[in-house]
Amino acid sequence: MSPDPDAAVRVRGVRVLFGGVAALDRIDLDVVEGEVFVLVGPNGSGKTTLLNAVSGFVPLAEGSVELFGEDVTRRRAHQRADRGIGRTFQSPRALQSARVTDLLSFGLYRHDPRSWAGEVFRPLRALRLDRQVDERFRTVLDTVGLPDELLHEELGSLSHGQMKMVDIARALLGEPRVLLLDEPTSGLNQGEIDKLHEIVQGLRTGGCTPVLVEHNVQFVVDLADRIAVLHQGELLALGEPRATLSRDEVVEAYLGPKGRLAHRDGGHQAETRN
Amino acid sequence: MVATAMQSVRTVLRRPYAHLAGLAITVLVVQQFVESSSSLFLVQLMALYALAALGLNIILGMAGLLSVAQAAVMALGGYTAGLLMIKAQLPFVVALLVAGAASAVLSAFVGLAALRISSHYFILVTLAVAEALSLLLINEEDLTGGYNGIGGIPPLVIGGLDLSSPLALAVVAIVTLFIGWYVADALAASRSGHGIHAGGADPQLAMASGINVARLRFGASVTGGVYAGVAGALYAETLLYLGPGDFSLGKALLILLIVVIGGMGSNAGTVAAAVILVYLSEGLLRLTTVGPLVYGLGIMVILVIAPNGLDGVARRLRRAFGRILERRVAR
Ligand SMILES: Nc1ncnc2c1ncn2[C@@H]1O[C@H](COP(=O)(O)OP(=O)(O)O)[C@@H](O)[C@H]1O
Ligand SMILES: [Mg+2]
Repeated sequence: MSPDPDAAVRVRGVRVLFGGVAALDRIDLDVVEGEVFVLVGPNGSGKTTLLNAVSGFVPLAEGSVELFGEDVTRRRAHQRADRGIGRTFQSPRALQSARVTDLLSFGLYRHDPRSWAGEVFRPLRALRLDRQVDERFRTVLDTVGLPDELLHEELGSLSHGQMKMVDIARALLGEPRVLLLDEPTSGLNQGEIDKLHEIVQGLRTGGCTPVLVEHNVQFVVDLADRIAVLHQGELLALGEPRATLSRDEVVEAYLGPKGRLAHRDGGHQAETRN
Repeated sequence: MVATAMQSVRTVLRRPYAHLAGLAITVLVVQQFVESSSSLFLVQLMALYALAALGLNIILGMAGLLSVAQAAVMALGGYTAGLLMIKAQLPFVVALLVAGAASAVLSAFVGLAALRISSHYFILVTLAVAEALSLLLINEEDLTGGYNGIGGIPPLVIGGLDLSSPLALAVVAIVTLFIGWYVADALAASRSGHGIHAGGADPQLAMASGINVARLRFGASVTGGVYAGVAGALYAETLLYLGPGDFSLGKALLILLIVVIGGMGSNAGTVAAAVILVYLSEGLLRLTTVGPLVYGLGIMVILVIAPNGLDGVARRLRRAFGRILERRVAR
């Protein structure tokens, strides 16, 4: 691949091993700044592992990862976050007795104005900062379509969908330049999915490049600029969404060789619907 | 409507007003109603164990590091302060500062282990440190007096002011506790505090948010160590005699229980639990033979009905109260 000066994320020759078995092998791809990039592939094909490799949660056996032209292969996860990588997790974290404000404070960490010394020695200023932070939390909850009454609720009392949206809000507070979202629509109701659509499009205009792992093809097709298909740890196809998803090898990877005929009808339906 | 009312209540109950008011009321109550020197001694112990437990609450309740070394760290503070006053005739304030620093270093050393090994082994490291220190106290007879401990610690004088009466000692302990409480509340409300909490609650989520979990764990260990060191130095002034038995594993478990019963991460819960558990362990346990059994069963029952400790109970009550209020307002 030719060097692309605009690459927000550049993955080169990445190989990840789990007990000698390659969960990812020879992965090369560039995510261009400003595009919506989507990863699809059957269960266990290595999508989450690829997000982990980019965000620093799994060691690479081979290869390199660059963020905005800087090699971060040896950087740890929190250092990559400092360089603009944000992410959510596939299943929302079970921090039972923490409150929504706590989780949002974790996300705000990199931009949190509330220093310990300030909280000790300037309590009145701290009160003002608290109001500012509170306002910021209300705004970000609004962005993800949640009412601000949730602010002081315990995380354990939220629905699955609300919890996932709060986690996206948490990630947004870090003001990432690239946001990795691992199956964001799974378990969401239709209203929440529509909201998510809006959020992802808003990210782009706000200067953040979204990278999604997504099962929901309907959701992805008119949102993605490019789609990468993973299969058994390898990059099977990469390109414009509709064309890529209807390539024979992609259909085969999903449905097996016999699935091809059945797919022809499904593909037709998708065409007529639009 | 209820929300805004709650908001203004929260503002008034905030640092520093809440702490100043709490301090004033506590000192007044103690001065008015606690007379016997044995009761004042109990108040001193409550305040000092609360202080050491606030430190452990930073290490365990916030950073999630299960340590049984806090009594050892407190012992180091106590012995350091006591020996500096006896052998070097240093004034208390200087001895206190050195004790705080020494305890911070020991606690930092323990904290280093947390950066390298998994949490299951961490508790064993803290156990080893506690044992090693207790052996050191017993074996270095020339310095520490071995089993006999160190006696003849000069009574508390700060800036020429004699504070060695039971009431003055209790007030000093209470003032120190409230300062420590205030600083711990400020930490919990700050960026660093949220980072420490995140690292304890979910390290992966924390790292994904740009939080340097290792560094903050280390910082939490150092900070928690200072609390134990200061508590140890004042403890030396309370007893004027220190022996290795004052900081046994039993004391480590008492401090641990205070944090757990108080509700992990809650400073107010920790202080409340310290008052209750020190009262029980000094009163009930000493007076009756079935005391220890009742105490043990009581703790089990509390942990079963209220797994989030006193803080969890308080939250539930607040929520129930809020709901009742809301219904009233709606009508
Ligand atoms: N921590 C791990 N240890 C061992 N194997 C793992 C680990 N994480 C993922 N795997 C394996 O790697 C492969 C890819 O997993 P994953 O990236 O989670 O797939 P996907 O997200 O596409 O469903 C699977 O075979 C999975 O079992
Ligand atoms: Mg996955």
